[in-house]
Amino acid sequence: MTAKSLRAWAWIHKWTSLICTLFMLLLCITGLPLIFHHEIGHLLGTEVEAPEMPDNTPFASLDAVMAAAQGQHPKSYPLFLFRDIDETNMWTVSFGATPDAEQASGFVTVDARSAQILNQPNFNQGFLYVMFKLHVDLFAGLPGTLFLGFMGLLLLTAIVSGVVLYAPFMRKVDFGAVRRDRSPRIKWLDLHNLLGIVTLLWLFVVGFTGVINTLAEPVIGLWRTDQMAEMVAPYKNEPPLTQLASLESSMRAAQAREPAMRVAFVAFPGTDFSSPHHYAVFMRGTQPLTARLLKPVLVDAKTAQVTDSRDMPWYVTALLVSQPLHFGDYGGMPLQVLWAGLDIISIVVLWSGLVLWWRRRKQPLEVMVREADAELDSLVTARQAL
Amino acid sequence: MSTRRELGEVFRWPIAIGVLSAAGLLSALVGDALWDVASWSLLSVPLIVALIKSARRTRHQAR
Repeated sequence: MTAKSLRAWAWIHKWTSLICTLFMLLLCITGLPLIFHHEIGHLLGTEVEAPEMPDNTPFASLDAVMAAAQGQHPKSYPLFLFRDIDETNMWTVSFGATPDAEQASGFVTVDARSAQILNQPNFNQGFLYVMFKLHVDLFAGLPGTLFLGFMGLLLLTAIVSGVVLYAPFMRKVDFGAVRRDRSPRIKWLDLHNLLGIVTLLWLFVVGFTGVINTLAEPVIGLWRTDQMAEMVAPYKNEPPLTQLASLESSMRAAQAREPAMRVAFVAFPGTDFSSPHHYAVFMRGTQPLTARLLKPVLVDAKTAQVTDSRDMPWYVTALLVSQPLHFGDYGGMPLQVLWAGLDIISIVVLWSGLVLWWRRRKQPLEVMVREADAELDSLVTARQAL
Repeated sequence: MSTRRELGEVFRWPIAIGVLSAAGLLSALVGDALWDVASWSLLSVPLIVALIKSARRTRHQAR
């Protein structure tokens, strides 16, 4: 590598890292509890399990489930009916002050078999909510999310430039060697190089999919104005609905349209995911590869007849595939633990980078590389010792 | 320690670990059961390398 390009890469690594490091530390630290949000929710008592019942217990009508939930919020409008990916025995309904409310004002979890109310969680407060907001938008809405996405792009740049700088640093050093017999700085440097290079791929994937996730809102907006707008166009001039058709019949109609799929969630008429005249029943596949992919089936909310159903466009599919790769929630508890371990190592990489910069902030990074590269280690060590 | 390494040598282990990590990330995505077990084993590699290599430092220090 020429001295000029070395200097350029060193400059890139220094500045992209410096700008994003504090935010990345925040994301790594708040992300840690989010990996285990279900487990923590159970510990805190904010999440419940459906009671044990014989396997062949029939499901209650969704209309009964809705009636039970609506009873807790008689003056509100249902927004979404949803459940976890592996859950079949309970549904959670979110309610809003208006049919198109941006934020839910209440949640009711109902047993899918007995239609009994199990829980009224408040997802908009508490420890996990604070961690979630700090991780997702810094309590600043879409601008906060996009800002974090930009920080993520800086992280990806820092990773790439870090790999480029890894080569000159490691020319004379065995892979993974941590030279404890040299100065503390050399030790931090070796540690930074070792931990950075082994977690490289994981951090790049989690960083990249995180950046894609920050685009969720614009991506969904694009789908709404693109495919969704086409699907509901015939209803543009219909008068507003006064009464909704049976949810149970609507869901059965959607299930009949996609018999090989399972219901992931239902968007009630008026939300960002439906239209004022449709239930949108989002179906998912049953295989590991397809379980994360959604297909909306639009059901006329007056007649409970399916009106349209289309595969999601590529950009929504990309978003959906990137989610498990960011969350680490697709391979059971062992994968969550590995995610946490790799997250902690990434925290050490960020921290060691910060330490290295702080100790030698008056000395350009490329000088550091040169020293490490040009067999001047002993000189450096001698100077450190002075 | 004093010999200069070629690029291929410098990146031999990093590339191997990267390939194993990528296989680990993907395998849990395509299947369950054995695919999950494969994913756990493969994704353990970067963690184990990191732990062993950075622990070696303390062992030297104790000398």
